[in-house]
Amino acid sequence: MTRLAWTTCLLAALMPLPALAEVQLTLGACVNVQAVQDSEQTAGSGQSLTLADGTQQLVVECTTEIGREEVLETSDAFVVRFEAADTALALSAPEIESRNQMDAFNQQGNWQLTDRQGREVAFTADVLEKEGFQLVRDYARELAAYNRSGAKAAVAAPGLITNQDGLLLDSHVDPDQEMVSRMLRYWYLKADEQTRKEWDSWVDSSNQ
Amino acid sequence: MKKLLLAVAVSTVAAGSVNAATVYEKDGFTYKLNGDFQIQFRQATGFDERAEVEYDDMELKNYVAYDLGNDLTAFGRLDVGYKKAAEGSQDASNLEEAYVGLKYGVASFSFGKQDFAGDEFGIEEAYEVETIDEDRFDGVETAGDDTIRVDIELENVYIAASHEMDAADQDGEYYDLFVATELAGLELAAAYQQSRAAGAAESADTWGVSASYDFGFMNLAADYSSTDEDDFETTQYNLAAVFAVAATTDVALGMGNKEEDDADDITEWYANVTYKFPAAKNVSVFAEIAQSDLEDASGDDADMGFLAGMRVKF
Repeated sequence: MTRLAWTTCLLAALMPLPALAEVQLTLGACVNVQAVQDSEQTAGSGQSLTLADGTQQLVVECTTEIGREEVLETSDAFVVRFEAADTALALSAPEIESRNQMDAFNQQGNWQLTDRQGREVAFTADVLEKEGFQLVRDYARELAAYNRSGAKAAVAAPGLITNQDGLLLDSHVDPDQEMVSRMLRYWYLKADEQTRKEWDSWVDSSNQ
Repeated sequence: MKKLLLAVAVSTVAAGSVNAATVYEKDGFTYKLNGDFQIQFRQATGFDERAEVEYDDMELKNYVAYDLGNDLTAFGRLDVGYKKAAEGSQDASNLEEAYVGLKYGVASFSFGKQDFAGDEFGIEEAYEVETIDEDRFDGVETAGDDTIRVDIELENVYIAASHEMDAADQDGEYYDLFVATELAGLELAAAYQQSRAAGAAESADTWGVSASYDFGFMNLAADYSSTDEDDFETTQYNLAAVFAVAATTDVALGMGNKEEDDADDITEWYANVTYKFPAAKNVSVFAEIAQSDLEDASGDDADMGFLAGMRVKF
């Protein structure tokens, strides 16, 4: 091998390779993922997800058998949001063996997110509610609507910015400003005195 | 903020996911539907038994609830099963449970056609037992259609009580009580039933205790139950161990012994394996062998029984 080739190999060996920064998330017993970030993707208990570093947002459920009859019961769908980078985490739910325990879990949302050493990792969980027929749910679309609502486990969706009050504003301005103006006037005239005062106060504070 | 999403290293599906049980939910109203279908190829333990296709569970379970506010919920349950019809019994009732009730906090009250509190008792892990009962409560009665029941689920104690009224249908009268708790991983339960068959002068007393402990690699459990009816005693004990040999596979080994006054005791043992498909754990296949020391009139032992089947739940 020539000296040039040796030098090239040596340099290549010494060059720091960019580490593939990612998050490995393992799902505990009963845990099912229905959506990851803004896309519909499923994974079941015992499986692992590979996620990019940064803010994570999942739609998860817990399906388990309860009671002596081992009836299948699925929890509410939860939006779980957390920050993670270059780590391995595990998401699990407490042991649920009765309908009462399932009700309590739905109210408390006490998921458990831990790192490899078993230390708890901070997260925010919130129920992703849907009224009406539940048989077929479009979690990606529901999650997009949830994120627009600015609820506690929401993340800012592309095209949305947050003002100083934490309210989400749409950066894509509707071209039909006359319609917007007419709607504002319409609802202002519909509002009672108290609502108008609150509205005036909010407009004043937004212009400061 | 721009976020990157790496490929998810698991299966993906197109938009639209199936939520297993809840069909409809709005304005405090909930409707859930569960199904449990289990069919086996089976040759029962016994004498000159023949292999057949047996329908174990063919159930649809309907559950409705209304949130009445202030932590009060009204609920109703209607379970229909078709295993008797599938076996060819055209006049078989398809109704398995039908009751309504109210739930307030940790307590619920229900009445109608339902299981007794004593049905909660027992640790037996077989798919089928043939020559003995599951336990003494199963040997007496575990369900009725004039039944009032109260369930209370506290932090670490579960209590159920039921009363089957002495109605004109001549099903008899039953009082049941069941209590279960967990102490340092040890699950303990006790049950009592006072029963009086329709028109009977004497009542029968059945009681039982059970314990189970999860060692991680194995769950070990035992129960003992006894019925005393007019000084005629019948007792039964069960032992069962369940091993999780893989994330998808459970193996259970167990035995039960039933003894009646003035008769030889009967011991039946079983071993079964259950495999749940990783992609859908609601689908399982299973197999079991069982043997009993029951003898016929000529002193011959019962033939070994075996079964293999499939269960689909939703």
